[in-house]
Amino acid sequence: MRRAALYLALLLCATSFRPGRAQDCEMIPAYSMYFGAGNGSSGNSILTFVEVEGYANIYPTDCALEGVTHQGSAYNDVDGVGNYWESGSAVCPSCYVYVLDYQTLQATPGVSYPWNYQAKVVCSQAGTIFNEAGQQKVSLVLPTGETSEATTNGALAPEVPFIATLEGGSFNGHQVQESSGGPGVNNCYWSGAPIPQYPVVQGTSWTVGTVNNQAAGANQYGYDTIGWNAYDLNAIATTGAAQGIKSGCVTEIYQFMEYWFPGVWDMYKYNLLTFTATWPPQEQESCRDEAGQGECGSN
Amino acid sequence: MRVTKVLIVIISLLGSCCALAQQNARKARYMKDAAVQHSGLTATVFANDPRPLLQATRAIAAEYGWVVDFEDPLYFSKFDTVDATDPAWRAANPSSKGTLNVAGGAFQSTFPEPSSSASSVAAEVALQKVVEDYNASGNPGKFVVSKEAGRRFTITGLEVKDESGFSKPVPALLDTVITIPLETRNGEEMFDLFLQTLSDTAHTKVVHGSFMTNLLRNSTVAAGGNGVTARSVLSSIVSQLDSQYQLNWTLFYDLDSGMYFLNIWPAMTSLGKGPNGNPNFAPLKRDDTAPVPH
Repeated sequence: MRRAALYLALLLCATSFRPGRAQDCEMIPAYSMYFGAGNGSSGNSILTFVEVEGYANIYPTDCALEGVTHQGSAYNDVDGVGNYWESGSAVCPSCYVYVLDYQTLQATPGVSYPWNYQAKVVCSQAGTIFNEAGQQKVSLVLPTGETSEATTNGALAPEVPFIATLEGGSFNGHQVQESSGGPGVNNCYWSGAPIPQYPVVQGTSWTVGTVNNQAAGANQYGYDTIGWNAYDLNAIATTGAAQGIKSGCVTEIYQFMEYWFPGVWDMYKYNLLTFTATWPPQEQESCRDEAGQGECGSN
Repeated sequence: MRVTKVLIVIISLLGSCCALAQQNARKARYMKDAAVQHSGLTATVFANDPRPLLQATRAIAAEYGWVVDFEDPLYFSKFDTVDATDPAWRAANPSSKGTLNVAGGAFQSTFPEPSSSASSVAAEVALQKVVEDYNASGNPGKFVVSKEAGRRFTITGLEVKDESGFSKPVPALLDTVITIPLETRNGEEMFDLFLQTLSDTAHTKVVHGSFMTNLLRNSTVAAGGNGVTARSVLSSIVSQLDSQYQLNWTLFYDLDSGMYFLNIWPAMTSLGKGPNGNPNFAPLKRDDTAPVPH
């Protein structure tokens, strides 16, 4: 999104602006155009918007401008969709103008589409007093996938920290989050255990370009820490074992990964998270999307 | 004399067999999940678990979209605990002391069907009835319900059995008054400080369970206070964790280690049965305000 602010001083001396008054009226427009594009909320769609808003300052403030109006309009044409002007109501010069034009284009991943946008404000007396325009190409920019790399960090052991790397574009600074793909399976659970019977992801979000709250490589995010902590692993290997849980018990969690555009989360990846507890000695192997672009590791 | 010894051994063996049979029967009786049945103006929950009140209230919370936190009392007597050692494990580890579990079992309660699952009053009435029924059921512990906010409640254990089998009031761990300087900290640092302060003050070790690391490390939390209850600090921390889901806490007392496990998990809402016949759940989103159909 880009903010384009225009401060234009116009000295209007038309007699119709000062009926019965001795001085001229001065009008200073303060209008802005906002625009943006991102993935739509359903399927492969691109959402674009163009917005014009603002008002005009009138000096002196008691200047009478009977009959004078300002009207905002926005143009938002993405590959032929939305090739018309969306206009707001005509309002008094100092009144707030706000026009928002949303368009949705069904798109094919990897294809670029022309996008033309424009915003203007027309004064009934002075003509066009604000006018900005632009054009660019837009395309679906959802990540096409991600790889997962198991790493080590002694402070987190025996949980295994993973670093993920998004594919399909440049995504640093954007947000991703995990959502539940359904109740997980916990073969290490016994009745009365202090561990979840149906484990699910916690709904954490990460900023792409950071790992462990520090700047990282392009498109990386993390850690996504997977597995039992030391207390739970010990409980499984001692109390659980004494209640019939076998070494090698496997737990599964279903993780949907979603990418954030302003206003919408889009899912781009499904990850099966698995971790296997073994004893003695008490150890754990965790996997993130082992069958796909991920791997397994221990910490 | 020799005959007497043989008889004692035989009786002991018979007793052990019976005890093992009872344990096995107890384990076999546990339900995988509690069930809620609706019948006009009332609903009935059926549970069978070492902690049947926890199992029952989890099912009820998921059924209606409520958030229920749960706090174990500190069980210690033989009247509230049971030897839950697996026979095969016992045979392979004959010198081990085995393992204990809370001695709960079957429980059911019929409560007024909430006129609307969005009503916090109806939720409180239903949960009060379930807890009253539980406290009269003979299962371990006695509990109280307190309303935290909206449709969020805490169920706290306040009585256990002593070594003579009599009810004994016990302080709730999260009623412990603590002091933590009110500051903004990383979630993990804040939570570790909270657990350490609570453990030191209550003289009971409290540790946290799994699956919280990402959430804690990626959150910033402003919490603390001078002479405040641990529950109020915990509630503040949980409310600030950066999750899309509503979170609840469960405080388990582990009889073998003598520690409390404090877990923070997404509150769940029931989606009925899955394709394999198992119950299907989804985490309750923070912006979910609509009643959950049932």
